[in-house]
Amino acid sequence: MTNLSDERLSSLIDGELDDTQQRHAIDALIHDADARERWERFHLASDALHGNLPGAIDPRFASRVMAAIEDEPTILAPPPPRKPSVSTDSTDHAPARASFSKRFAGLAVAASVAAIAVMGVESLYHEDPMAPRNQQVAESKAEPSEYIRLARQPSAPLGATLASSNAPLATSAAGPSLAARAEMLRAHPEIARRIDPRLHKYLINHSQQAARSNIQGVMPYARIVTYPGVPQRPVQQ
Amino acid sequence: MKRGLFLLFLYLPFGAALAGDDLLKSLSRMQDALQNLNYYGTLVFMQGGDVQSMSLAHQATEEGEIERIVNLNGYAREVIRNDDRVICYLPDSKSVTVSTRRSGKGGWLSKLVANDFAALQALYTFQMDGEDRVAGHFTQRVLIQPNDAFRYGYRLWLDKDSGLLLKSALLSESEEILEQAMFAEISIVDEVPAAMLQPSTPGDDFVWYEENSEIEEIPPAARAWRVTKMPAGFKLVSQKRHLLPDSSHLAEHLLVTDGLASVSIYIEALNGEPAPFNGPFKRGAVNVYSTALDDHQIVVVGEVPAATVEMLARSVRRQTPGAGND
Repeated sequence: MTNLSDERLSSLIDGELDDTQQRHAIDALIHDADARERWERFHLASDALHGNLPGAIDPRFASRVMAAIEDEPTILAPPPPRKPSVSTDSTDHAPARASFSKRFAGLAVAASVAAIAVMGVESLYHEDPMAPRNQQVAESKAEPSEYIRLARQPSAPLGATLASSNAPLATSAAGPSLAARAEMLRAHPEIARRIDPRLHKYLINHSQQAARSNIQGVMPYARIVTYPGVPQRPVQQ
Repeated sequence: MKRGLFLLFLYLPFGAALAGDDLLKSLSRMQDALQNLNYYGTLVFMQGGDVQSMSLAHQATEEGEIERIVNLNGYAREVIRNDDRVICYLPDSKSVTVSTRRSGKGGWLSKLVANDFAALQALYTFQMDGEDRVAGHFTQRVLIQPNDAFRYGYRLWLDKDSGLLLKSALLSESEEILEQAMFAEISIVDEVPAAMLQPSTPGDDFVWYEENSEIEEIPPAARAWRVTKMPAGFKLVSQKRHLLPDSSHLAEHLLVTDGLASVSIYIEALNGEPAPFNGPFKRGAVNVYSTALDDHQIVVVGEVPAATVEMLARSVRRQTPGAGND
């Protein structure tokens, strides 16, 4: 159940899962350190490929945010119900729940901070009311108000994490070299984003233009009629 | 067995040349069949885990070809091709796009004289690949493998009787199937019922985007943009200006091809606006790479590996028209 495939992870990052699937994926992430590591790698690689990285970034960012949150019990959720004798009562599930909710919160915060960081960059590019994918991801991940509050008003530990994250791992602002990126894409083809619906007009035009020279007969038309979602918004002329 | 291998070895060069001739014949026959036969059927399209079916009808008339493809799942998008004029009905966005295809009659193979086929064989390895049965028809399989990592491979299933392409797959470098289309059933007829060739969507309340067919090729001396680096075998075949749907200004469109794979490069003025796209995108076999240069958005689209669209996108340069290269 905690086996989170690369495909699933990538869909999670792209915001392509429905609510239930997303909940399950996040549950799996909480319980699966390996998946969490891959998740971070994907995010980092995806951001690097899309030129969304700041000059420097902490590769262990999410785990440090999570650790910071574990140390800061009162910020996020209301404290879980505890009996006075909590540490000695082995039949009580409250500590497990507390830890679960804290860790989930940490993960969610890490996700929304990362998403908001990306969004900060991306929102420069999007004034389009049709929310771009990243914004949707950020919104859906930041749904519970606590997370938003925390993400927008960094508390001391989170602030410290953010500040200290400027030091390690130098990634040049220009991003990795073409060769490195090509290599990264070959190793992780799932990193490339799913086609943004607003790109469909190019895809459709390309299919229309290139069809005649296509050895695959009607394949270009098959692509046109099967592109998912809305290919373009009509503009009243 | 040993003797067989020895004989095979002995006859290989000659045999390969023969196979090349046979292949070219099969492919020419396929092209003829696709253009001149009348047929209709159900086509299944698979991409990743996604399966969709569509109905297809093709009729050759005195005036030219009519072909119609309608998605049977989800949105009833359809494409109707009337010879060189391609009309896409997109009910999900309530729009219709009309474009006139650039190449004349005959398609890619009629222009593929022996020399071109030799050039293609430098880029791809063609081979007969056994037999198979598709949609109740016996087929000859043809495998086309790329000789480098800048293009995909193809596997084609050609009907032995009619020559029609009944199944087609696009293969990654590791021969993984990226997408495939296959007839689930097909009827080859004297005449396709006229109703099968009519659009099911009236499109009256849709927004129509008609590409201005008056727009001509940009003569080489007047070209402000050029691609400075292409993978081996790719050539620029056209450079035009288009008005894309949802845009207020013309996009410069460059079409490059290696003979099998085509890639489109779109260059649009940003007029000070930030570039809406950045980096790689993909869906199935289609890779997109987008970047910005000199207040212009560059979007490169093609059924080629990610490295190819990225190389092309990053090599686009602006030049002063008429000033010559570099």
